[in-house]
Amino acid sequence: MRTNVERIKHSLELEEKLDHQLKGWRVQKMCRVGIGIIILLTALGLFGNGLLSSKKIKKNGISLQYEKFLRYEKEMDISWTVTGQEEIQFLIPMQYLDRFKIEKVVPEGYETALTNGYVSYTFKVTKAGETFVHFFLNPKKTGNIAGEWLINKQDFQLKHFIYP
Amino acid sequence: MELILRGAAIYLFLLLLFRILGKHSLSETTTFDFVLLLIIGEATQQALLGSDFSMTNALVLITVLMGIDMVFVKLKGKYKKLDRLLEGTPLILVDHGKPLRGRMKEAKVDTEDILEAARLSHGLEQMHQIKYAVLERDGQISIIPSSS
Repeated sequence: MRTNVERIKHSLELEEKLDHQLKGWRVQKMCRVGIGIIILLTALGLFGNGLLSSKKIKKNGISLQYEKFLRYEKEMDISWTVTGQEEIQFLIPMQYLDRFKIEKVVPEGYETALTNGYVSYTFKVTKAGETFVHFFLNPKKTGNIAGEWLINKQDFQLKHFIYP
Repeated sequence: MELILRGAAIYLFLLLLFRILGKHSLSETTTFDFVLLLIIGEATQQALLGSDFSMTNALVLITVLMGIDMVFVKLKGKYKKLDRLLEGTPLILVDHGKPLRGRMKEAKVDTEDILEAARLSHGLEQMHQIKYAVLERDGQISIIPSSS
Protein backbone atom coordinates (compact mmCIF):
# COMPACT_ATOMS: atom_id res chain seq x y z
CA MET A 1 0.00 0.00 0.00
CA ARG A 2 2.79 2.39 0.99
CA THR A 3 4.51 2.17 -2.42
CA ASN A 4 1.34 3.04 -4.36
CA VAL A 5 0.76 6.33 -2.58
CA GLU A 6 2.66 9.15 -4.26
CA ARG A 7 4.89 11.42 -2.21
CA ILE A 8 5.08 14.90 -3.69
CA LYS A 9 6.58 18.29 -2.96
CA HIS A 10 4.09 21.12 -3.12
CA SER A 11 3.91 24.83 -2.57
CA LEU A 12 0.67 24.77 -0.58
CA GLU A 13 0.69 25.89 3.02
CA LEU A 14 -1.04 22.84 4.44
CA GLU A 15 -0.16 20.09 6.87
CA GLU A 16 -0.69 17.00 4.79
CA LYS A 17 0.97 14.50 7.17
CA LEU A 18 1.02 11.64 4.67
CA ASP A 19 2.31 9.11 7.20
CA HIS A 20 -0.66 9.92 9.42
CA GLN A 21 -2.97 9.41 6.41
CA LEU A 22 -1.36 6.04 5.66
CA LYS A 23 -1.82 4.94 9.27
CA GLY A 24 -5.41 6.17 9.18
CA TRP A 25 -6.20 4.17 6.03
CA ARG A 26 -4.67 1.04 7.56
CA VAL A 27 -6.77 1.46 10.71
CA GLN A 28 -9.86 2.13 8.59
CA LYS A 29 -9.29 -1.11 6.67
CA MET A 30 -8.89 -3.09 9.90
CA CYS A 31 -12.02 -1.49 11.34
CA ARG A 32 -13.99 -2.37 8.20
CA VAL A 33 -12.95 -6.00 8.68
CA GLY A 34 -14.05 -5.60 12.32
CA ILE A 35 -17.45 -4.28 11.20
CA GLY A 36 -17.81 -7.30 8.91
CA ILE A 37 -16.97 -9.67 11.78
CA ILE A 38 -19.48 -7.93 14.08
CA ILE A 39 -22.20 -8.23 11.43
CA LEU A 40 -21.39 -11.94 10.99
CA LEU A 41 -21.41 -12.58 14.75
CA THR A 42 -24.68 -10.67 15.06
CA ALA A 43 -26.19 -12.91 12.39
CA LEU A 44 -24.93 -15.92 14.34
CA GLY A 45 -26.58 -14.62 17.51
CA LEU A 46 -23.88 -12.98 19.62
CA PHE A 47 -26.37 -10.28 20.56
CA GLY A 48 -29.33 -12.66 20.87
CA ASN A 49 -31.65 -14.70 18.64
CA GLY A 50 -29.29 -17.03 16.84
CA LEU A 51 -27.13 -20.12 16.95
CA LEU A 52 -24.67 -18.75 19.49
CA SER A 53 -27.43 -17.56 21.79
CA SER A 54 -30.06 -20.28 21.68
CA LYS A 55 -29.66 -22.85 24.43
CA LYS A 56 -31.57 -26.11 24.79
CA ILE A 57 -31.47 -28.46 27.78
CA LYS A 58 -33.35 -31.74 28.05
CA LYS A 59 -33.57 -33.77 31.26
CA ASN A 60 -35.96 -36.56 32.33
CA GLY A 61 -38.94 -35.52 30.25
CA ILE A 62 -38.44 -31.80 30.81
CA SER A 63 -36.96 -29.63 28.11
CA LEU A 64 -35.95 -26.02 28.31
CA GLN A 65 -35.21 -23.49 25.61
CA TYR A 66 -33.86 -20.01 26.31
CA GLU A 67 -31.59 -17.27 25.01
CA LYS A 68 -28.15 -16.93 26.53
CA PHE A 69 -27.48 -13.44 25.21
CA LEU A 70 -30.08 -10.86 26.04
CA ARG A 71 -30.47 -7.14 25.56
CA TYR A 72 -31.55 -4.62 28.17
CA GLU A 73 -35.34 -4.21 28.19
CA LYS A 74 -35.79 -6.63 25.28
CA GLU A 75 -38.39 -9.20 26.28
CA MET A 76 -37.31 -12.84 26.10
CA ASP A 77 -39.05 -16.18 26.36
CA ILE A 78 -37.96 -19.05 28.56
CA SER A 79 -39.98 -21.95 27.28
CA TRP A 80 -40.47 -25.28 29.01
CA THR A 81 -41.94 -28.52 27.76
CA VAL A 82 -42.90 -30.94 30.51
CA THR A 83 -44.11 -34.46 29.71
CA GLY A 84 -46.23 -36.78 31.86
CA GLN A 85 -46.59 -34.72 35.06
CA GLU A 86 -49.88 -34.00 36.84
CA GLU A 87 -48.51 -31.09 38.76
CA ILE A 88 -45.66 -28.87 37.62
CA GLN A 89 -43.89 -26.68 40.11
CA PHE A 90 -41.33 -24.11 39.03
CA LEU A 91 -39.07 -22.66 41.71
CA ILE A 92 -37.25 -19.57 40.51
CA PRO A 93 -34.54 -18.00 42.69
CA MET A 94 -35.42 -14.49 43.84
CA GLN A 95 -31.83 -13.40 43.15
CA TYR A 96 -32.36 -14.34 39.51
CA LEU A 97 -35.70 -12.57 39.30
CA ASP A 98 -34.14 -9.44 40.76
CA ARG A 99 -32.62 -8.84 37.31
CA PHE A 100 -35.90 -9.28 35.43
CA LYS A 101 -39.46 -8.09 35.32
CA ILE A 102 -41.94 -10.91 34.69
CA GLU A 103 -44.10 -9.66 31.85
CA LYS A 104 -46.29 -12.70 31.36
CA VAL A 105 -46.54 -16.38 32.24
CA VAL A 106 -48.40 -18.62 29.80
CA PRO A 107 -50.69 -20.48 30.55
CA GLU A 108 -52.23 -18.20 33.15
CA GLY A 109 -53.93 -20.65 35.54
CA TYR A 110 -51.20 -21.01 38.14
CA GLU A 111 -50.62 -20.56 41.86
CA THR A 112 -47.74 -18.51 43.16
CA ALA A 113 -46.01 -18.51 46.52
CA LEU A 114 -42.78 -17.33 48.10
CA THR A 115 -40.70 -20.11 49.62
CA ASN A 116 -37.21 -19.97 51.03
CA GLY A 117 -35.63 -17.56 48.55
CA TYR A 118 -37.66 -18.86 45.63
CA VAL A 119 -40.81 -17.78 43.86
CA SER A 120 -42.92 -20.80 43.06
CA TYR A 121 -45.33 -21.22 40.16
CA THR A 122 -47.50 -24.31 40.34
CA PHE A 123 -49.60 -25.60 37.45
CA LYS A 124 -52.20 -28.35 37.76
CA VAL A 125 -52.39 -30.61 34.73
CA THR A 126 -55.66 -32.51 34.28
CA LYS A 127 -54.53 -34.74 31.44
CA ALA A 128 -50.87 -35.55 31.81
CA GLY A 129 -49.39 -35.19 28.34
CA GLU A 130 -47.03 -32.64 26.90
CA THR A 131 -47.36 -29.28 28.64
CA PHE A 132 -45.85 -26.06 27.39
CA VAL A 133 -45.06 -23.26 29.80
CA HIS A 134 -43.62 -19.89 28.78
CA PHE A 135 -42.07 -17.27 31.03
CA PHE A 136 -41.74 -13.91 29.30
CA LEU A 137 -39.12 -11.89 31.14
CA ASN A 138 -37.80 -8.40 30.58
CA PRO A 139 -34.14 -7.79 31.58
CA LYS A 140 -33.85 -4.80 33.90
CA LYS A 141 -30.15 -4.99 34.76
CA THR A 142 -27.10 -5.60 32.62
CA GLY A 143 -24.18 -8.03 32.97
CA ASN A 144 -23.83 -11.70 33.78
CA ILE A 145 -26.62 -13.55 35.54
CA ALA A 146 -26.95 -17.20 36.47
CA GLY A 147 -29.73 -18.93 38.32
CA GLU A 148 -30.80 -22.45 39.15
CA TRP A 149 -34.47 -23.12 38.47
CA LEU A 150 -36.07 -26.16 40.08
CA ILE A 151 -38.81 -27.90 38.13
CA ASN A 152 -40.47 -30.66 40.10
CA LYS A 153 -37.23 -30.79 42.13
CA GLN A 154 -35.01 -31.12 39.07
CA ASP A 155 -32.44 -28.40 38.74
CA PHE A 156 -31.78 -26.46 35.56
CA GLN A 157 -28.94 -23.95 35.43
CA LEU A 158 -29.72 -20.86 33.35
CA LYS A 159 -26.94 -18.47 32.39
CA HIS A 160 -27.36 -15.17 30.58
CA PHE A 161 -25.39 -12.17 29.57
CA ILE A 162 -27.47 -9.03 29.35
CA TYR A 163 -26.09 -6.36 26.99
CA PRO A 164 -26.67 -2.72 27.88
CA MET B 1 -25.60 9.44 35.63
CA GLU B 2 -27.05 6.76 33.34
CA LEU B 3 -28.15 9.47 30.93
CA ILE B 4 -24.64 10.92 30.74
CA LEU B 5 -23.17 7.46 30.10
CA ARG B 6 -25.74 6.76 27.40
CA GLY B 7 -25.06 10.10 25.72
CA ALA B 8 -21.29 9.66 25.93
CA ALA B 9 -21.42 6.07 24.62
CA ILE B 10 -23.57 7.00 21.61
CA TYR B 11 -21.51 10.13 20.90
CA LEU B 12 -18.22 8.21 20.94
CA PHE B 13 -19.63 5.30 18.94
CA LEU B 14 -20.92 7.60 16.18
CA LEU B 15 -17.66 9.56 16.20
CA LEU B 16 -15.70 6.34 15.74
CA LEU B 17 -18.05 4.96 13.10
CA PHE B 18 -18.01 8.08 10.94
CA ARG B 19 -14.22 8.29 11.27
CA ILE B 20 -13.95 4.66 10.06
CA LEU B 21 -16.24 5.33 7.11
CA GLY B 22 -13.92 8.10 6.03
CA LYS B 23 -14.26 11.53 4.48
CA HIS B 24 -15.53 10.19 1.20
CA SER B 25 -18.85 9.29 2.79
CA LEU B 26 -19.52 12.97 3.48
CA SER B 27 -18.16 14.34 0.23
CA GLU B 28 -20.62 12.40 -1.90
CA THR B 29 -23.79 12.46 0.11
CA THR B 30 -26.60 11.00 -1.95
CA THR B 31 -30.35 11.01 -1.31
CA PHE B 32 -30.07 7.49 0.05
CA ASP B 33 -27.32 8.62 2.45
CA PHE B 34 -29.80 11.13 3.88
CA VAL B 35 -32.37 8.36 4.29
CA LEU B 36 -29.70 6.25 5.99
CA LEU B 37 -28.86 9.13 8.34
CA LEU B 38 -32.54 9.43 9.24
CA ILE B 39 -32.69 5.72 10.06
CA ILE B 40 -29.52 6.01 12.17
CA GLY B 41 -31.17 8.94 13.97
CA GLU B 42 -34.28 6.91 14.70
CA ALA B 43 -32.25 3.94 15.97
CA THR B 44 -30.13 6.21 18.14
CA GLN B 45 -33.13 8.00 19.64
CA GLN B 46 -34.42 4.86 21.33
CA ALA B 47 -31.02 4.05 22.85
CA LEU B 48 -30.57 7.60 24.06
CA LEU B 49 -33.98 8.20 25.58
CA GLY B 50 -34.84 4.66 26.67
CA SER B 51 -38.40 4.52 27.96
CA ASP B 52 -38.28 8.03 29.41
CA PHE B 53 -39.93 10.38 26.94
CA SER B 54 -40.15 13.33 29.34
CA MET B 55 -39.11 16.79 28.26
CA THR B 56 -36.60 16.94 31.11
CA ASN B 57 -34.88 13.81 29.82
CA ALA B 58 -34.66 15.24 26.30
CA LEU B 59 -33.36 18.61 27.52
CA VAL B 60 -30.77 17.00 29.81
CA LEU B 61 -29.65 14.72 27.00
CA ILE B 62 -29.24 17.58 24.53
CA THR B 63 -27.22 19.48 27.16
CA VAL B 64 -25.04 16.41 27.77
CA LEU B 65 -24.38 15.92 24.04
CA MET B 66 -23.60 19.60 23.53
CA GLY B 67 -21.34 19.48 26.59
CA ILE B 68 -19.39 16.49 25.28
CA ASP B 69 -19.06 18.23 21.91
CA MET B 70 -17.81 21.39 23.61
CA VAL B 71 -15.20 19.38 25.50
CA PHE B 72 -14.00 17.75 22.28
CA VAL B 73 -13.81 21.11 20.48
CA LYS B 74 -11.71 22.48 23.35
CA LEU B 75 -9.46 19.42 23.41
CA LYS B 76 -9.00 19.47 19.63
CA GLY B 77 -8.00 23.11 19.84
CA LYS B 78 -5.49 22.36 22.57
CA TYR B 79 -4.03 19.09 21.28
CA LYS B 80 -3.10 19.05 17.58
CA LYS B 81 -2.60 15.27 17.59
CA LEU B 82 -6.15 14.66 18.80
CA ASP B 83 -7.44 17.10 16.19
CA ARG B 84 -5.63 15.18 13.44
CA LEU B 85 -6.84 11.87 14.84
CA LEU B 86 -10.48 12.91 14.91
CA GLU B 87 -10.70 15.19 11.90
CA GLY B 88 -7.96 13.80 9.68
CA THR B 89 -5.67 15.96 7.53
CA PRO B 90 -6.09 17.44 4.03
CA LEU B 91 -4.84 15.34 1.12
CA ILE B 92 -3.57 16.54 -2.23
CA LEU B 93 -5.18 14.54 -5.05
CA VAL B 94 -3.97 16.40 -8.16
CA ASP B 95 -0.51 17.85 -8.58
CA HIS B 96 -0.04 20.22 -11.56
CA GLY B 97 -2.73 18.53 -13.64
CA LYS B 98 -1.57 15.03 -12.78
CA PRO B 99 -4.07 12.90 -10.82
CA LEU B 100 -2.36 11.05 -7.96
CA ARG B 101 -4.03 7.67 -8.49
CA GLY B 102 -2.66 5.94 -5.41
CA ARG B 103 -3.97 8.66 -3.12
CA MET B 104 -7.28 8.86 -4.97
CA LYS B 105 -7.76 5.11 -4.65
CA GLU B 106 -7.10 5.18 -0.90
CA ALA B 107 -9.35 8.20 -0.39
CA LYS B 108 -12.02 6.65 -2.66
CA VAL B 109 -12.23 9.69 -4.88
CA ASP B 110 -12.34 9.32 -8.67
CA THR B 111 -11.44 11.68 -11.51
CA GLU B 112 -15.09 12.56 -12.03
CA ASP B 113 -15.39 13.87 -8.45
CA ILE B 114 -12.39 16.14 -8.98
CA LEU B 115 -13.56 17.40 -12.36
CA GLU B 116 -17.01 18.05 -10.93
CA ALA B 117 -15.49 20.11 -8.11
CA ALA B 118 -13.34 21.96 -10.70
CA ARG B 119 -16.39 22.76 -12.83
CA LEU B 120 -18.50 23.86 -9.87
CA SER B 121 -15.92 26.04 -8.16
CA HIS B 122 -13.97 27.53 -11.09
CA GLY B 123 -15.72 26.50 -14.30
CA LEU B 124 -12.65 24.51 -15.36
CA GLU B 125 -13.01 22.11 -18.25
CA GLN B 126 -9.98 19.83 -18.10
CA MET B 127 -7.62 18.20 -15.63
CA HIS B 128 -4.51 20.04 -16.87
CA GLN B 129 -6.14 23.33 -15.82
CA ILE B 130 -5.97 22.20 -12.20
CA LYS B 131 -2.81 23.03 -10.26
CA TYR B 132 -3.87 21.34 -7.06
CA ALA B 133 -6.97 19.49 -5.97
CA VAL B 134 -7.19 18.94 -2.23
CA LEU B 135 -9.52 16.65 -0.32
CA GLU B 136 -10.23 18.81 2.70
CA ARG B 137 -10.85 17.60 6.26
CA ASP B 138 -14.61 18.05 5.88
CA GLY B 139 -14.71 15.86 2.75
CA GLN B 140 -15.00 18.75 0.26
CA ILE B 141 -12.64 18.92 -2.72
CA SER B 142 -11.03 22.33 -3.15
CA ILE B 143 -9.47 23.32 -6.47
CA ILE B 144 -6.57 25.65 -7.17
CA PRO B 145 -6.51 26.46 -10.90
CA SER B 146 -3.24 26.43 -12.84
CA SER B 147 -3.49 30.07 -13.86
CA SER B 148 -3.52 31.38 -10.29
